[in-house]
Amino acid sequence: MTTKSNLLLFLVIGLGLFSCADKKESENNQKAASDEVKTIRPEIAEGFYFENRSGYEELVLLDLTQDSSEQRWILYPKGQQMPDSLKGGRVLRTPLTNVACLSTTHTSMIAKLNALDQIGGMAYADYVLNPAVKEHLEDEKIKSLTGADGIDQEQLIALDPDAFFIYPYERMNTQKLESAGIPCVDIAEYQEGHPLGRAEWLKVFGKLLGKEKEADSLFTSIKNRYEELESIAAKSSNSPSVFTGSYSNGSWFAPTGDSFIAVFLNDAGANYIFNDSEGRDNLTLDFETLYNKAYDTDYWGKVVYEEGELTLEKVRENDPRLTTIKAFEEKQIFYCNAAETDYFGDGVVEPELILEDLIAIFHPSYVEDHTPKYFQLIEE
Amino acid sequence: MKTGGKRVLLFSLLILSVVVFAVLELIAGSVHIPLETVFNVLVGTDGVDQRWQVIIFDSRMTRVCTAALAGSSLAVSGLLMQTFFSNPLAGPSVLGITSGSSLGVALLVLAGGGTMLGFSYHLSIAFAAIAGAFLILIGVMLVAQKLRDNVSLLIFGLMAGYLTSALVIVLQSRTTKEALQVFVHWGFGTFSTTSWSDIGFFAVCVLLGLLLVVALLKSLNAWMLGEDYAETLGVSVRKTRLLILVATGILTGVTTAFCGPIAFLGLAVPHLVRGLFHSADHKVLIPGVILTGMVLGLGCDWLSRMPWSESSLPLNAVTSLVGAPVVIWIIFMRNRRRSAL
Repeated sequence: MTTKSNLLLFLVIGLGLFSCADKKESENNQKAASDEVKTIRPEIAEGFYFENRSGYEELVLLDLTQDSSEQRWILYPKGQQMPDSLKGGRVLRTPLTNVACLSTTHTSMIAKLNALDQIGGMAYADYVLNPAVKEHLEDEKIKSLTGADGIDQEQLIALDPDAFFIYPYERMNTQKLESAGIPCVDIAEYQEGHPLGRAEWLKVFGKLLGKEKEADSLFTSIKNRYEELESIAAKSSNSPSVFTGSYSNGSWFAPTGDSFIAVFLNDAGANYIFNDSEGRDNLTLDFETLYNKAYDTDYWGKVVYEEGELTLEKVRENDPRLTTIKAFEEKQIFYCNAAETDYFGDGVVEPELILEDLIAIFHPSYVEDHTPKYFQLIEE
Repeated sequence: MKTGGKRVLLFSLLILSVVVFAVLELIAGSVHIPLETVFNVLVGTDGVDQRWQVIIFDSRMTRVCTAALAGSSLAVSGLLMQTFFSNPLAGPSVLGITSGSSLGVALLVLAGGGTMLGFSYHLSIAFAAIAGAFLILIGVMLVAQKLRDNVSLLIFGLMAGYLTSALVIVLQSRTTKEALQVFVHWGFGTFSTTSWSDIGFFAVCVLLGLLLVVALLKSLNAWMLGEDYAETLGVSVRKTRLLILVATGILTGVTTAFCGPIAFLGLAVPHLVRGLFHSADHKVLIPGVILTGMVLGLGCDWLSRMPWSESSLPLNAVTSLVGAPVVIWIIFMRNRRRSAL
């Protein structure tokens, strides 16, 4: 054995018995039932897939920021005797009936599936905008688990959920929760490079909560509507240029050409000025680079978080230098106020509505009688 | 060469360096602008493309002014604190003023809605930082009235720092990712968020602080011999203490407000200047640290923009990367000179 593979072996053992047993089991299973494994990949999403095996399924979650990292869950029907060979792996007994959510994106997804009764608790309850979720919180059907680090771990453990949906990047101590018997499931829908890919995560929630058919048909209708709108926008002969991003402490942070935001803008018949850039992280630009690029760009898109409507005056106050660019002078600034519209929650499962708003902004004649929900043009 | 001649040469070199770095800042940026255009914008030639005007005048020029003002005021604050506490490790942050600013900004960004009383976001941050700085400064002054010994004051400053950090941590633990990001970015420090109207206010405050320092020049020299000795020389210890504290408070507070908590410049520059001029006379040191502070402020900002690449570094990383080796080098040089004697 080479030193390298020795090191690898050491690492695998060192990384904890959990994952070791997990891998071994799934390898064994693969050998035993290799001819029966059927991989079901999503249509657009890249961050998950399912494996159909004899008598049960596996959910594989990928961390798209790290090529090698994956999380495997054995989904075994509740009430059925599980074979001993599977017991070493990470198991979720489906359908889950009492889950906890870290993010409002998760609760919005579950609300879309009409499965709010299956949520026991959630963190960041103060940021909920979805009316159905709000109602469940007020009736205390969903408990608020907000605590010092975002989530109150004791309340979470007391809730004893079937699963806790988290974000991989929160880097919370999941080991402690796992040893308390709470499976922590990484939901990385935000890493998807396509708006429909994000919405397709409905299928993960559908599979786990016993709403598989609902999730499939919901996604299909979202996708059909999205593609219909996309083909309408594609008919336009002109595509106005757009820039977006946020300014913080002297630096401008803009999504790259690989981001779902770029896809939204391009699908809406616009031309995102940073289409050439790559990567999953935001671009960081200094003022002069941004100014030079944005100077004669047609539209300026903003996602803001503030009380009341965005006005030109507020934009001017934020940075008077940007009042000299074309988008400001021609009042072609569009925005979504995430404090009032649930852009980060419901917006994830309503990409077709976001796209329609954007088309109504760039090509108003293509969408008649449109009432914007997420994005609108700035008023004077 | 006689000391006098050497000093004139050093001062000329420092002034030249200020000019060189200012010019470097004006011509080097992520957007390539021909030298001739830069010159035309600066002398106000008509017909220059508006976008070059905004980039040079409203972005690069404001950075130059901010870097120069911030560098000199932090350097003077650092010198004042080192003299005041007779402690080479003192810097502008020892009184807890920077921590006070952090608390002000944290309250605004993390707990409040981000804006104050109809001010723009950016001005709100500056005001919150100034308010926080003065809150701590008033505390320091009250303690200074009660306790005559400076070590107690130093401890008060440190404790005030710990207390405010504790509050900041509490605020950080219960806020959104977006607000946290704004606060973290503020902590990186920058010379690039100031507008011309900010610079007007900034410059007035710095001038006010420097005038106080000029008025204190004699007392500062006497102070180095000890408070009792200073008193026998006719220096009012009580008055001098208060004036030093007010001057430091204004200079540090206003700089932190507009640029964030800039690390290390204030500590490093006085050491560098003492090493350059071989002098402890504040009549030499004060102009020395003003100019050297400008040079380092401009130089660090220029480096942080990494003109050879499209990327940039947080200013605070650069100030410490430049500042720490400078101090280490000075300590080595000093020791070598001592052992040579």
